[in-house]
Amino acid sequence: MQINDLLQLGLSNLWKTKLRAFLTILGVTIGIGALVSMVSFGTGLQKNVTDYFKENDLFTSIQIIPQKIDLNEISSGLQSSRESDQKDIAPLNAAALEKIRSIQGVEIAFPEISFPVKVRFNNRETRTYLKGIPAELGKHKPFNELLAGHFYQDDDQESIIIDKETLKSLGIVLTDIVMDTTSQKTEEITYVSSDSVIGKKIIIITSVVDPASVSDIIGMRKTDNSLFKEKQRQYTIIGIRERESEFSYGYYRGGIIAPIKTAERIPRLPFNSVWSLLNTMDNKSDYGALLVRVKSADFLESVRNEIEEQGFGTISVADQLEEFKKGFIIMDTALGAIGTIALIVAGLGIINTMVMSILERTREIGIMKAIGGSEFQIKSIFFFEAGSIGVLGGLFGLALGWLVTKIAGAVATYYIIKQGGEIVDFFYIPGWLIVSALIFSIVISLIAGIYPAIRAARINPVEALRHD
Amino acid sequence: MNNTILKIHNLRKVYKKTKTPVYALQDINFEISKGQFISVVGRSGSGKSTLLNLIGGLDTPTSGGVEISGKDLSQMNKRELTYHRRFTVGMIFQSFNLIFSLTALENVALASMFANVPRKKRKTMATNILHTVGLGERTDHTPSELSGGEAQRVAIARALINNPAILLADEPTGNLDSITAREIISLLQHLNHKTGITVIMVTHDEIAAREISDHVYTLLDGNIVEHVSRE
Repeated sequence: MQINDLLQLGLSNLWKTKLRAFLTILGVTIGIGALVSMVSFGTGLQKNVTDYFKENDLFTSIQIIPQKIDLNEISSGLQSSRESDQKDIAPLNAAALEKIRSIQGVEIAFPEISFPVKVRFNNRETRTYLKGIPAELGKHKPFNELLAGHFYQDDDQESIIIDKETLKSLGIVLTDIVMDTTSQKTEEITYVSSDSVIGKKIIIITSVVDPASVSDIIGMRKTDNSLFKEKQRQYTIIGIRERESEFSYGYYRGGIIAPIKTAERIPRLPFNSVWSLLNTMDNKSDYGALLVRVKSADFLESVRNEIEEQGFGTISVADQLEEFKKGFIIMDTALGAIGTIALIVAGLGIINTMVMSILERTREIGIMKAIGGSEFQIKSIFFFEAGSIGVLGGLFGLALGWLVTKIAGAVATYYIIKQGGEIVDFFYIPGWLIVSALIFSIVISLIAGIYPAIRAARINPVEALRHD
Repeated sequence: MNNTILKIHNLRKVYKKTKTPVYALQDINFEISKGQFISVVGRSGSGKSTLLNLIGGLDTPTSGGVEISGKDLSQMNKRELTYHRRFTVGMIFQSFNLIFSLTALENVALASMFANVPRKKRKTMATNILHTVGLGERTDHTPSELSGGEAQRVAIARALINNPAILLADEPTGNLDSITAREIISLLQHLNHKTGITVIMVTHDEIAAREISDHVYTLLDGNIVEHVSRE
C-alpha cells in the first residue's frame, strides 16, 4: 500500500461521513486556532521588545563600572559587603580606557559623563540630565535619526542636541513634528517650527560647590550663603531628538546631549551618580563608568568577557532582554497550555469519531481482512484517516488563528490610535509556530488514532463479516 | 506425483462462548486435488461456512489441521495467514461483501492494493479481470448501481485478481434468482475449467452441486455424512 492509496482511502472515508468529519475537523481547527492565536500574542510581544532592542542598536552597548556586580553579595547583606570591600578594585582610569579601546571588536569607548542640569530657554526653565557623547557616535543610532538639525562634528564645539520632551517642558511644541500634547500642562505653549529652534541659544545651569561657603563652614563662621552656587553657560541648539526609551539603561538618555569635551568642561558637582561617588571615595579611578560601543552585536560577549577579565564590571541591555525572555517563555507556556487543552479536547473528539467509524465499518474491516489486508495495513488506514483530520484541522486552524490575530490586532490598533498611541503589532506568527502547530495537530490526531486503529486491526474477520 | 492441494485431517471446531459448547465441526477428514470443483452441501448450521472460514484462514480450528500445498495453517503466524488469504485463496460470499463507497474497479483493485501491486498495474489487472467476468462496461459503477448477479461477478473478479490457487465460494447463489444463480455457477465452472483453479463451493443447491462438482460432501451437525464422487 502506498501513501497515495492511504490518502485516497482516508479522504474518501471522511467524505462518506461529511458532517461528522466536518465537526471533528472543526474541533481540531478551533484547538489549533486557539493555540496559534495565543502563542502568537506571546511571540508578538516578544518580537516587539526584541525588535526595539535591535532597531535601537542596544545590543552593541556595554556600560563598564569599576567593580564586578555580584547580586548574591548584594542580597546576602553586610558581611558579604565587607568582604567585597577587601577585594582589590581595578581603577577605571585613562590607562584602563586605552586598554579597553584596544580590545578587538570595540568601536568606541568613552567615559560616561552625565549630570543634572537646569535649562533655560524661551523664558522658561526645566530640569534634565546632560550627557557627554563623542561626535563619533553621531553616525550610529539613535543619534543618526534626529528629528531636526544635525549631530555635531566636533567633540569640542559649543553646541547641544535637545530632546523634544525637554522642549515641551520648556513650553515649545514643534508644529512640523508630531508631538503628544494630551498630557500638556496648562502653562502657555508656544507653537513653532523646528527651524526656529535650531541655531537658537540655550542656557545650561549647573550647581557647583561655593569655596567661600565651604571655608565659612570649616571656619565655623556664620554665613548666609548657600553651600552651592549656580554657574550658567550658553550653547547653540543644533539638533532635536526623540526621547530615549527606558530600555536604554540611561546610556544615552538625557534631555541634553553635548560634545564630550564640552561636557567635561562644564563646571558641576564632583559626583553625579552612585558609581562616581564610590569612585570618589575609592580615589583610584578617574571615571565613574565607561561606555563602550562594539562593532556589531556578535562582539558583545567576547568584549564583555575580556573587560571582566580585567577586573571590571559590565552591564548590558542584553541582560535585561534575557530577563524579558524568561518572562516571555513563562507567558508563552501558559498561553500554549490553554491552546493545548483545547487541542486535547479535539483529540478526544477524534477518538470518538474514529471509534464510531469502526463500529459502522466493522463489516468493511472484515472484508478487507478476508481479501488479504494485514493488521498493519488496516491500522495504517485508520491511522492515516486520523492523521488526515489532524492535517486538515491543522491547516484550517492556522488560517483561523491568523484570522483571529488579524481581527484582534485591528481592534487593538483601533483603540490604541483612539487613545493617541502608536500602532503596535500585538501578534506575530513566526515560521516555527506554523510548523510546530501543524506537527502538534498531526501528532495529537495520530495519538488519538492509536486506540481506534489498534481496535480496528484486532477485529475478528469472521465476526466482522457477520456484522450488519 | 502428489496432486493434493488441500488436506483436512481430524478437523474440529468447538465454540465455547456459551455454557454449552457448540460443536461446529467434528473430526472432518478429506483431501482435494488441484483443479477439482468441490461442493459442500448441508442444512443451515451444519458447519459448511465454518469449514470454509477455516480453509480460508479467517478462523482457527480447535484441533486437527488444514494443510494447503503441504503447509499447515495452524502452524502459521498472523503474517503468514494474511499472505494465505491474500495469495493462496480467494473468497466470495452470499452477500457479495463489496465496499459500497468504492466502484467495481476499486473493489477489485483493493485486493491487489493489499498485495502492494503498483497503482497503474492493478488498475489494468482489475479492468482485465472485470472484462473476463463480463463487466467491462460497469467498472465505474458502485455496488448500489449493480444487480445481484453483477455484484457477485465483481466479488468473483476481486477473489481472482491475486491469482489464488483455491476459490472459496460461500453460498454464492444464495441471494440470486435461479437464472442468475445458474449464470454464476456457470462462470465458476468456466473459470475452473479454463484456469485450473480449485473451487470449493458451499451451497444449498444439492442438484446443481451434483451436476458440476467432482466431489460433493454433505455435512450434518458438523460431520460429513455423505461423500459423492463423480468418478
